[in-house]
Parts: sequence; C-alpha cells; structure tokens
Amino acid sequence: MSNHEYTPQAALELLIRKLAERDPTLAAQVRAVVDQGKDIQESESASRGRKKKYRVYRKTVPYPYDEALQVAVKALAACFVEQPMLIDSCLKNMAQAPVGSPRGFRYPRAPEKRTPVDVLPGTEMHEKDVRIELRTETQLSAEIEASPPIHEMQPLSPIPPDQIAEQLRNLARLKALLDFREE
Amino acid sequence: MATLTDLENAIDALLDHPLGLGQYQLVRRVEEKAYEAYVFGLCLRAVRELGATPVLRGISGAPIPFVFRGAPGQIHSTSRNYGYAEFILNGDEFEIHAGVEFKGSSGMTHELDVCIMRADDADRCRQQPDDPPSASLVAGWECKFYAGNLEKGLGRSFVGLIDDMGTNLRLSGFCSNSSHVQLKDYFQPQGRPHPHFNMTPLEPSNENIFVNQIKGAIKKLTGA
Repeated sequence: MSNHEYTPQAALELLIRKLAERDPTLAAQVRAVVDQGKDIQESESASRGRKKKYRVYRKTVPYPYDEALQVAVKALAACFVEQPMLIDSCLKNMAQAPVGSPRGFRYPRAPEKRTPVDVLPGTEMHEKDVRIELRTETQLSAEIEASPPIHEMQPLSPIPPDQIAEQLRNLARLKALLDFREE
Repeated sequence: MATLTDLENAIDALLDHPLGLGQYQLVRRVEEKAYEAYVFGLCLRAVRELGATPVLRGISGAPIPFVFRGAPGQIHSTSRNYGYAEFILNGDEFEIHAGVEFKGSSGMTHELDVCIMRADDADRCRQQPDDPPSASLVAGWECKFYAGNLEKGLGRSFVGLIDDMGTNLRLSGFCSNSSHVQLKDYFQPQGRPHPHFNMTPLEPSNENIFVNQIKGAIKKLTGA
C-alpha cells in the first residue's frame, strides 16, 4: 500500500510550480537538470555469426518521476543547503588564519623563513571580512582602491549554526516525503 | 500517510527559510566564486594540519577586506588589493591563490581556480610584472559549483590545461559539489587530475581526502 497521497509525477509538478511562483529562473534551472535524463545500459541480440549473444550499448533516457524527484531535490540542496555551508566553511577556515601586516610586494621578504612574520596582532581566530568582487578588474580604473564601495563586492556573511541545522532538517523532511522507493 | 499538504509545507519550509531563496538570490551571482573560496579555505586547513601557519595577505597591503577575484586575473594586478595566503614549511615558502593566470609551457595563459605555487616566483612576478611560469606551480584545482550534473567538456578542458602546465606540478584536481560518472572514469589514467566529486561540507570524508592529498604532496616536496 502506498505511503503517499500523491504520485511522484504530482509531487514533481507541485515542486516545480511552487519554485516557479517564487523564482522562475531557478525553476527553469531545476527543470533543465531533470530534463538531462540519465544513462542506462541497453542490450540487444547480437547479429548472426558473433561469439557473444548480446551486445550492450549506452542510451540516454528520461528519468522516471521518482528518480527525477531525487535529482530535483539534490539541485535544491545545492542551492539552499550546500551553498550556505560552503560559505560557512570558508569563513571558519579563514577566521583561523592571521592577517599579514601592510607589507606589499615592494617590501623584501624576511630572512628568517621558519616563522610567519609581519602578522597583525589579534587577527588569528578572528572573523574576517571576506568579499567576492562583482565588478571585475577589467571594468575598473587602474587605481588601487583601499576600501572599495560595498556595491562592487559581495560580502560572504557568517551563517548562524542553528539556521544550518534547521535547513538540514527541512531538507531531510522533504527527502523523506519524496522517497517512493519502497512502493 | 503523507498528504499533499505535508509536501507543500515541507517545500515552503525549505524555500522560505532564511537560508532559502532569499539567501540564494543574494549569493547566486557569485556561487562559482564562493565555491573557489571554499576550496581556498580547505587549502588553509591542510596547511594548518601540517603544522604551519597560513597568513592572509593582500597584493598591496593588509587584506582588509579579503577580496576574491570575480574573474581570472594577473598575479601582479594592482586594480584591487586581492587576497592570497602565504605559508612556510621546512624553510620553503609557498602561496595559495584563487583565479590567477599562469603561463603554460606552450606560452598560452591559463587560469587556475585555486592553486599553490612557490612564493619566490610569485614575488618575482609581482615585482617585475609577468604571468608566473608553469614551473612555479605546485598544485592546481578546477572548481565547479553545479546544481545539476557536471558537463563533460569541463573535464576535457581541464585535462588539456594540466597537460600544458609542465612536469613540476605535484598535484591537480577537479573539485565539484556535483559528479559525473563518465568524467570520473575519464580522470582515472595516471597523470590526469584527481576527481574530487561531491566535495561539500555535507560530505566531510570527501573534504578529508582533498585535504590529505595536499598534505601528502607538500610533505613530500618539503621533506617535512
């Protein structure tokens, strides 16, 4: 007996529809991922005179709806769970590193090579302001900008751990509701 | 029995969460670069686990803020105070960069999403502006964040890039949160990049493999 009041097809339609209502671009992206289909091994009788009775070949076919759901959920997990976790991981690893002093390439390297030099005190184990450039260097003047305007950068903001835990639970709940394997 | 209302509520909970659509729409234009930043962070972790201290630096001064390039660029660029990391192990100095272009053995330039290179060469190329030679490269990675399956062409391009980076390269890899069965096979022959597929914080064992490979390669190189 089914554990679901809905079919895999109805579930996929609902998922894509709800996504399209909020973000048509992402809905199209998820739809495209599902539409890529999957590779399977097909076999057919070999032609006469061959040693092997069957030959095997690769064929790309559409996903069955239950598998398409898993693919769609994986795509959503990349956007709503993996992406915040990547940023969190990056910020945590960078927080542990100290910041070098305002020593540019014009300054010679220290002769002592075994220990870090010119480190700003108090910067180790301290959250860093990390940003990704939005206006790339070929779009800018050649001047160095010590403190670029915020709109030219995308800051990577810290992610509260409880929010990650909550979103992981949301993902697990959705996965469970879309699991048709035992039916 | 799971009802349609249960399903609707579960979808809403995922999309409407603070880390759901709002956060995604804010960051999606830089998601590829955010993945590079994540791999850069794992390199810092590998260095720390080797007992060294990675220090964050900027091309023209202290990296406050620490800026990741939005597009491939030159190591000597002075457009912005781009960030990189420096570390010393057993007397050898190295730098970790993201989005820097190198000169291949053929003379053609190639971008490496994340790399570890010899610091002396990096210094020289900043002082006398030039693209670093492939011989200065110790390790290099292609980084791809994909919501769906990877495209085969990405793997083929990276194999071609690595082929042009000479014989000093100790380690290369193709990192992605996604995977591709055929690409995994394609990367199997010796000398091809390691496939670091499904490498995300959701798969800590895959992160550990990546980090341990770096540690092994740097240890061997420095005798640490």
